[in-house]
Amino acid sequence: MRNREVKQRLRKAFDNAAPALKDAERSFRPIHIGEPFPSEKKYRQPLPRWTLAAAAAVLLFFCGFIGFHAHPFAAKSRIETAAGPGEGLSPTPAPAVSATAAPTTQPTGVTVQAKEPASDATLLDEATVKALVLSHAELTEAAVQYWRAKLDRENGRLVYEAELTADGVEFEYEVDAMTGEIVKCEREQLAANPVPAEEPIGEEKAKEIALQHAGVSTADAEQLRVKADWEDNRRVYEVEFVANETEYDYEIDAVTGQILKSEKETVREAADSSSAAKGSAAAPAKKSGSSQQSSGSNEAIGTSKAKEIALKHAGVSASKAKRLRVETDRENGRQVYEVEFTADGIEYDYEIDALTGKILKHEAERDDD
Amino acid sequence: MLKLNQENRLTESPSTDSSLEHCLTRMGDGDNSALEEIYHHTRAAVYGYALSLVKNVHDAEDVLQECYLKLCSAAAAYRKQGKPMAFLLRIVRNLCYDRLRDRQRRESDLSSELAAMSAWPNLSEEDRVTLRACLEELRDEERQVILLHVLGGFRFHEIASFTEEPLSTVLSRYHRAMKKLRIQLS
Repeated sequence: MRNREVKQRLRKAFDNAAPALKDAERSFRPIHIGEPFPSEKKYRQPLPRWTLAAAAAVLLFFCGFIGFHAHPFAAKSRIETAAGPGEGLSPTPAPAVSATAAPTTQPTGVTVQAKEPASDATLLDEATVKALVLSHAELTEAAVQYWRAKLDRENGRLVYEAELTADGVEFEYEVDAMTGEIVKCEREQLAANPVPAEEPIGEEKAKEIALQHAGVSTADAEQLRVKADWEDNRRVYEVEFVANETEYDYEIDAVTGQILKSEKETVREAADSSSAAKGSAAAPAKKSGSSQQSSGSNEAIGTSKAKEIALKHAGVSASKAKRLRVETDRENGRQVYEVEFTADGIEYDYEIDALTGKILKHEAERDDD
Repeated sequence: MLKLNQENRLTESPSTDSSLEHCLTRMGDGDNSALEEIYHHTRAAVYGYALSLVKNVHDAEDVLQECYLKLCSAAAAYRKQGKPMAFLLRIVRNLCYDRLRDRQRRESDLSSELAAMSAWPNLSEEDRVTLRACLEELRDEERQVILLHVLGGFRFHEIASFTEEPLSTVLSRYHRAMKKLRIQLS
């Protein structure tokens, strides 16, 4: 049985085995904030409404307690945390924002009042938070070059951690997710070179830099991908490609073109070592296999060559081949390439000896998908 | 060249990332048919992956329901980043871990479990053989790689970063598992 058939059967079996969605589950409950992206390290359970209410109650109690017993201290910490961008304690009423968004620097008593709607346990959505932050920082939407907000829990309360840059200044805010209170505000002048003036080098250039560093020509690079991304507040390009059975992974500064990270991982060696680990049985088989071959070479032809052989045999040009994929596999102890592609509604399937380039098997069938 | 490669990458997945992403966006906008579509394209991966983690049919079926429910509420917050399947399977994984932690139990053996599948009576004999082979013959970590690659459409290096294991380990597991399956299903 071929790998492809195994895969098809697996797909079909699990597709059929998956239970139907229960009707009750199909109704939508879009809530505006949703959940944070479920990243591996910082996954949080969705909070049931009662949890939010409880958190709000604890917060209320705590604030009330401090307000009553240790008012000077509370006031002090407030000054520290709410030190605004440049102008210190600017009162920031956020007009036109929801009523739950409490002004930052109100006396404690008033804040408590403003927090009352929190028992309703509604979280502010990101747009509201953004509006709050922008009005606090006295920025317009247009001036913001970078914005990111994520929901987090800080000492038991839900806050939005927002980062933004505008006019060469980086701001970091923490905003209470229920009351809209600005818990923390930091600003930092970015390095002297103004960011907006810098133009990114472009994906093509990034690709070029990576390929040059790897010593790989454009033609040899397969599965070449470039993606613009942000890393530690700087724009980068992530460049990935495979060449000569090696996976390359680059991170390139989008402005300076400097290589920030380069990784290289050999794919074939790994596949080989795995088969070697399978036992000695495979090794002699491979040896005898290769000694039979006239070329006597022990070098694999490479995936691009295998692809070329298959395409040539099928009489299909590279540009016409869709869903082209090559996999390294082992068949009776010999290393083979499985090349699959479709063209003009026909599915081609090749098995090519990785050492000699000989076509061991080929199939063509109408693609019914 | 680049364009072609990207296209290959998309079409080779059982369900394309771009169409899934589109569905998620539609879901976020409140389009009810989008969930149906996502479910249709991803249920095999979601269910298979859940089953491979919790190793209990009932839990896996519950996880599937919960996962789509969760997706409904998370869709509005989903930000495009080109990897919706990874987004979805992370939800699955987290749900499974929660379940394992809550119940403090781990079924070591799936063989007695299979008949409990709600869809079991309707499965063809071939499907049953395939499921048996995948669930009984493969080791847990092999099964995971197979399911992520074949059902989830993950590339090997994506699996490596998803499971935080070296690429070489992922590759050798895949090849070993494929060999087992080929033998079992032939």
